[in-house]
Amino acid sequence: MMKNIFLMLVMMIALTGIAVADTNDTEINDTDAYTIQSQALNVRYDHLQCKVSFTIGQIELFEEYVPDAVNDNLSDSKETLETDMDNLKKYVDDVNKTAFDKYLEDTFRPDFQKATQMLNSIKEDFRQYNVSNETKTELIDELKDIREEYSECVSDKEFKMGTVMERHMENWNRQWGNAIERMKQKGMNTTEIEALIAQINTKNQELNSLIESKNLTNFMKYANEFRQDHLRYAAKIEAEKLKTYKGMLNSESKRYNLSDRNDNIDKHISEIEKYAQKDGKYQEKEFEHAWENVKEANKEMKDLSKDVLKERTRERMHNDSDYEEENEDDENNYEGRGSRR
Amino acid sequence: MKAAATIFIAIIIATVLLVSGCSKNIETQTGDFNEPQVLNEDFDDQASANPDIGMLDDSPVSEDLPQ
Repeated sequence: MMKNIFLMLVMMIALTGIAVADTNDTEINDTDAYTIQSQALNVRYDHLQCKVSFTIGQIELFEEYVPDAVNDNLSDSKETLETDMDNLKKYVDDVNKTAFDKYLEDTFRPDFQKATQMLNSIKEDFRQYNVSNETKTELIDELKDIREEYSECVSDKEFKMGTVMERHMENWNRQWGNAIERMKQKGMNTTEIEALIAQINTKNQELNSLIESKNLTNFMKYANEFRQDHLRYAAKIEAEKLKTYKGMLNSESKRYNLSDRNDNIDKHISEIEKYAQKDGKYQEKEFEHAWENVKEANKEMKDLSKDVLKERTRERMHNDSDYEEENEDDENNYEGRGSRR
Repeated sequence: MKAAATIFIAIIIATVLLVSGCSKNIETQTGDFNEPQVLNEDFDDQASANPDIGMLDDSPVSEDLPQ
């Protein structure tokens, strides 16, 4: 009986430990950002697959109906594109967006563009192949069928990308909600940040209505514009957050001779704001430079806040030990006076 | 013997969980509780994950029919 009670008590202590550890965990679920990135890469890959399947399908139809039109370069491009897709798949499986984007830009796009140009060339000069009307009609019917499949494939992926973007914005808003809460608890003014978040969420609602009503006619146009806006706002918001925290640590960093660290942080903020204030169409990789500065600035703020805390503690301990010495002297003086009486 | 081993493991687990749960707050204990603390956890990467998830490719395809 006693043994069972003792076992129960120990299990209760263990469970309490779990509960306490849980409440101290960050509210932000880092897995969400990773999962969303993985989903985005998968949809992007599947969307490319729609294009590659359509292109290879067309090449094979021309090989069947008009073999003279298909030269070795065009025929070989089928295998090239399939290899490109295999390589992209590896980056998707590794959730490596940077490598995926680089391969897409440096290898896939040029290969795909070549195949597309060769196909266009065949179609534009089709008369030269002296194809019978019957053959041409059959070929065109088959091309229409696979074009229909391509169109459905792409619409499906656009819708899926739209839903991933919705989840991404929900997660992003949740992260910022938590960050703002922390800042408010520390007495910081978050009005500017909240106003910026409200502005981008208004634009987000416009995109969400398109997705929810499945009105995807201009999806790519709206999605691209929204992405551009979101990234510029995200940069502005990061810069505001850094400036607010820096303001809070300003007087202490001067007091403890840590001001040069502020100058480094200012340089990063300046780079971030340069990107945030840009106009015009988003160029790929632009945001990466701003984000590198966000990461560096956060790292430096982290180190600065640690050092400020260290110096503050050192100063207090020094003041406390001075106070104790003074008290000891006062007591000694009082006792001395007492004994002289 | 089995009971003793269970107790021992449970105590180790509880200790580890309690210590890891409290470790993030250790720095607050070195400062003044009445002052707002700028904690370095506020700048962890997870607090602001990269907002760029990329976009669908806009490479043109050959969609026209033969002329």
